[in-house]
Amino acid sequence: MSLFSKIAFCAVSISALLLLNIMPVKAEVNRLQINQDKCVKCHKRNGLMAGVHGNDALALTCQSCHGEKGKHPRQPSLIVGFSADSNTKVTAQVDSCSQCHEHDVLYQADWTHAVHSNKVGCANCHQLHSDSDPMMTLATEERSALCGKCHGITPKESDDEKL
Amino acid sequence: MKNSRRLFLKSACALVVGASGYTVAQGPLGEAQQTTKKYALIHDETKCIGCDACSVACREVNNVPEGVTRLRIERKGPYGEYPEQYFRFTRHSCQHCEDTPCVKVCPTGAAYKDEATGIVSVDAWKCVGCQYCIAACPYQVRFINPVTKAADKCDFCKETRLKEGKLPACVSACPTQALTFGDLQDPDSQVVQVLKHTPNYRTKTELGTRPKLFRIGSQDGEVRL
Ligand code: SF4
Ligand code: SF4
Ligand code: SF4
Repeated sequence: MSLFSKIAFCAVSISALLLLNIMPVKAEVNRLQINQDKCVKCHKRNGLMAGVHGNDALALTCQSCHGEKGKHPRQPSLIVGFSADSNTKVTAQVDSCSQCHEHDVLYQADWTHAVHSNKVGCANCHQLHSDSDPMMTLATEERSALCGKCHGITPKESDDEKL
Repeated sequence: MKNSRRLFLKSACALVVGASGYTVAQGPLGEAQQTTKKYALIHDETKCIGCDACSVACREVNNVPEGVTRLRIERKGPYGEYPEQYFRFTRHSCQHCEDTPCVKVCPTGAAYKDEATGIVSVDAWKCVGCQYCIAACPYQVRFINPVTKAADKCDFCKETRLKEGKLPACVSACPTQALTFGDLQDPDSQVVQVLKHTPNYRTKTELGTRPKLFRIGSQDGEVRL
């Protein structure tokens, strides 16, 4: 990406963010270009994009992140899945996001990106389809608790209390 | 000549005792102190993930106002090349020194070491806010609490969790069990067992502070789940 297109991309993203502040209304979401995609015919419930990434100005399609449909759904395909039970390798999931998001920029935003980049899929923490990503408004306590979800060794109640 | 040699021998002995610190299982102060406790904490840097659950819990339990803190996890890094990067985490909090520079300089007796537990504390009502202790502490962990206006710092949760017979808040909150708390005088305690079997270090021991915050040094590479 050239510097100009990067700046343009950022400007568009920011305006998309601003726009979406007044946009999570259901009717508006339905009208978004990405939600006219033929994938939505089947994936209405889990497929609809209400988040920033669905904004028309970004002109993203389902394929931009999930890859080409291939023989899906009749036969196995290389569709990139981001859910917890997805068969897609973590690195392939991260690669998809890395098309736009550079790792050093992500590191600047939050240091934890640097240590998870090939171990945990982005969608383990981030949510793109919902109208807002919970990571954007994470309180300090919630953030620590989130680390503990994977890194916790024991159920907290057991041995912790007694001196 | 003879005198100076004796002096040298004396200080050399003192140095050896000081340097050996707590060669665990045997109380450094001998038989007379056996009934008292000597609380210590171990931060295992090989397990720490820098999640800050400890400092969050400390703030909540000990009612520490925003803007100051009794506990900070210092992060250094990233080391290594993307995508195999890692950080090192060190704990920044009171070391509960046996030889307490903070107590020595306090003109009012507000800063004190509780002989029954070895915990270094502050009597807030005695503190006049002169900040001598803050200047004297080599570990820079003391601060003036903006609410009480007294010097404040980690007290191993003496007034909160320990009173209830519970472990310090940070120890309970740590999801990876990187923190171990217990009595150095008790040979069966977990701290003694860990210190016996795991290489560990303390910081600034050359100052003679004899800190009771032990650390298990971080290693290269990612923290294993
Ligand atoms: S670390 Fe600082 S505040 Fe804590 S006992 Fe030592 S000198 Fe005092
Ligand atoms: S022992 Fe208590 S006061 Fe000290 S850092 Fe931990 S939670 Fe805070
Ligand atoms: S809670 Fe445990 S793992 Fe998290 S930063 Fe504190 S010591 Fe490290």
